[in-house]
Amino acid sequence: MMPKRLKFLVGYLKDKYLAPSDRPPPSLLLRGDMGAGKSWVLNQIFLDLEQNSDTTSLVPVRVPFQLTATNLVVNISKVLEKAKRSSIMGGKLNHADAQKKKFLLLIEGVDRLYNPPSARELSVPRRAIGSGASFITQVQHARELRAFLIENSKNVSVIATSNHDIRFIEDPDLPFFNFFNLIEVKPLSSQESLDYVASQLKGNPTAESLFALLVRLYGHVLIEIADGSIALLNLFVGGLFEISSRLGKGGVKKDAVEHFLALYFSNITPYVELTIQSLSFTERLLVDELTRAPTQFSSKDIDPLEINLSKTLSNLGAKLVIERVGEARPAAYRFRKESVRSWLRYHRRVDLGNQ
Amino acid sequence: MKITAGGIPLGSDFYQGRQTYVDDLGNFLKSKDVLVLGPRRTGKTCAIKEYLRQREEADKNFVSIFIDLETAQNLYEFYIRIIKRVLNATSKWRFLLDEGVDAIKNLSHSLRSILEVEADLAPYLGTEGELKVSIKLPDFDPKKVELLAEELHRLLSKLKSEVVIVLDEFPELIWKFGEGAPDQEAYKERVSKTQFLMSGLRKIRQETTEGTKRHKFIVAGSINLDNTLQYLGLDQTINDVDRLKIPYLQPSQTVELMLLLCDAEKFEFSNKEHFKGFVEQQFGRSSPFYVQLYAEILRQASIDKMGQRVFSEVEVQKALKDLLTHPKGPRYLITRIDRYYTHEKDLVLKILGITARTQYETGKPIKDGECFALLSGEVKDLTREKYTEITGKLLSDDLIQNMEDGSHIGIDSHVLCNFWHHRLVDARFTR
Repeated sequence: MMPKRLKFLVGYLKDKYLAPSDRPPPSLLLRGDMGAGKSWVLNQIFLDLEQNSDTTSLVPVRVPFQLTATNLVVNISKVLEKAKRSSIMGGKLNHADAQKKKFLLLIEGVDRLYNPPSARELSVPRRAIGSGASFITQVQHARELRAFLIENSKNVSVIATSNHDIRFIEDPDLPFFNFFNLIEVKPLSSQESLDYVASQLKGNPTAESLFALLVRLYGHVLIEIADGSIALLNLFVGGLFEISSRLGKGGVKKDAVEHFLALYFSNITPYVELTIQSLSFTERLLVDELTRAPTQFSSKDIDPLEINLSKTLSNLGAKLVIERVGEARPAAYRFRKESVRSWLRYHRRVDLGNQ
Repeated sequence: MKITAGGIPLGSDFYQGRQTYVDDLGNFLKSKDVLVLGPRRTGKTCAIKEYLRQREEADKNFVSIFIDLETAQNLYEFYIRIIKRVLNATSKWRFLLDEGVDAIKNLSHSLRSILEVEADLAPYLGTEGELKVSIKLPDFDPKKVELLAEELHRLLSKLKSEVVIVLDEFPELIWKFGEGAPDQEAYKERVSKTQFLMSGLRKIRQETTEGTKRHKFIVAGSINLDNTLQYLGLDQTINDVDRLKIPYLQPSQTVELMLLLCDAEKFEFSNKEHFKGFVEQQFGRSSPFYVQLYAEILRQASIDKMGQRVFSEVEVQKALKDLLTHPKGPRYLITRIDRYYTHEKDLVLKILGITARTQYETGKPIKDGECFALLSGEVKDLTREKYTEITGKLLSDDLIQNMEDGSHIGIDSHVLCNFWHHRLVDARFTR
């Protein structure tokens, strides 16, 4: 069951953003961390517009991610033409009415225009974007998309999602600076996360008991290792189901907790690697050191390790591994994602409950 | 009215307080081409697009072409894009009655020979949707550019109805000329290519507006456009156009727009009078964009609180602080200074800090001489020449403005003055 806040957001967007108008709605960017529920919101918008196609002039058009990799604008044009044709061919509209329709492009992960994923993640052959696809080329794709959207603003608009890649909307020399209206989709709070897990476990008393034991042992720390991400919470719930299914009639014992943690941290490894694989040797060294520091730390809590500490901290901030807390001096920081910190601490055998 | 802190608010979302500029644009265009100027983010593009929208609504045969030059890379692309857009717009309205499809074929043939392209360009030029064909453009050759300008001129002469051509972000194209070359070479290249661009455009404008055809050009860019042309010594190349200046909102307009946006979202304030006073004082003369962004921040707070729409005085103040650190807020100016004032960054930030502090604390701009004196106390060996050079740059980049008959310098926008003060003066705020 999705949190009420996300349902509220969908309701708000339907009422306000998608309200009937003589023009397509302003382009909107849903920005948030992985698993915050951006794609779910996007999907709800798509379904709602599809179901109400008779009463709304807005046609939702999904733009598959691979289109954002190459020949973006040509492909979007083709997708739009196809949508127009299928409305006419399907008998839903006559030609004149089809011309009056407005199109809402739904693009997931639009920030990846500047940050193409590795070849294994692409569903198009790597040669399609060229193995040496430079940043300039990517910016050119983004420029073309922006120009296309501006020049076709009478009947085309976009809702896109993106993570927190700050360059994407913050850099005045990049094409999407100030282009989008912005709504942040924030991660689930601790309470929302607890409610979400509880709702998923309903009807499975063994899993519920295991969860209760975990909460008793680790308190709020436990739920924070999922970063308020629905994707990680689903792995969390999946882990609880799997371990509880292995338990015999003897009920939940403490070693089940160990098995659960081993399974959970193994399952989230690919997500954590997304964050730490971009780190240099020095940055990785410091990150390991930071797992021993308090939750909130400043330079005086850290062994300087013969590295340029302030520069490395600043790099870790730029790579979204840590973030500044408050405005005090010396600067205080914390890990941006508790999943990363806990994963590292787990593998370094630091007690999770010891904060 | 919808919050539009990104994109362009038009129609029912357009702020009626700006209708006067839409009317002025229409009146100016009756006789001349128009240069639309104004500080960054004052709504130049918005006023132009609203004018086009209103014309289209009133006259179904009205044809306009809006070209965002931020994406054009060179002079070839500049002309090709206009040609392509004219063809697309006019074929839709069937104004190319004399030659129809043949016009596209002939044009395609001419462009192929000018650009030395083997591929058939007809689909590229004539079909909506097919927006991209790989063409390897030849190196810059003035003759080829001249030929392209002639093709555009020929095309425009054939049209039987008025076309308004908007060239937005004009300075962006100019600054791309010579990019990457050493300073002096870049300047030379910029001057020669801009000269070329302006004279080609002038020829087209004059020949299409003085004859029986009434095509019009609107050229838009920040205040920077005038300054850029002055810097290149080319300001006389556009002395035959009307200038429409779009300034910041007046404080009363700022309050009015803010209340309209908040009413549309059904926001309420625990103390509405306080809120109005707060907006008038903290936003004052403001870009409409920052009013929109502030409303967007309140909206985000409301969404986070599941639709709670009543804001306390503390929340109202917090939202302003959020605006000053927001990814879409004035923070981008820091990036701009990092990039464009690399060697003079410290000096630039000191000038902005002194200017913002005086204005923030006294409500008045600082005397130019006083600013220099204060700065001399902080910067060793600062000469008057160096100071004048840097402030000149800042003035032409619109980061500061000349005020009170030029004897003072200041920051025209209250939000930007707040931003620089918090960023450079108020230590509690520094990151």
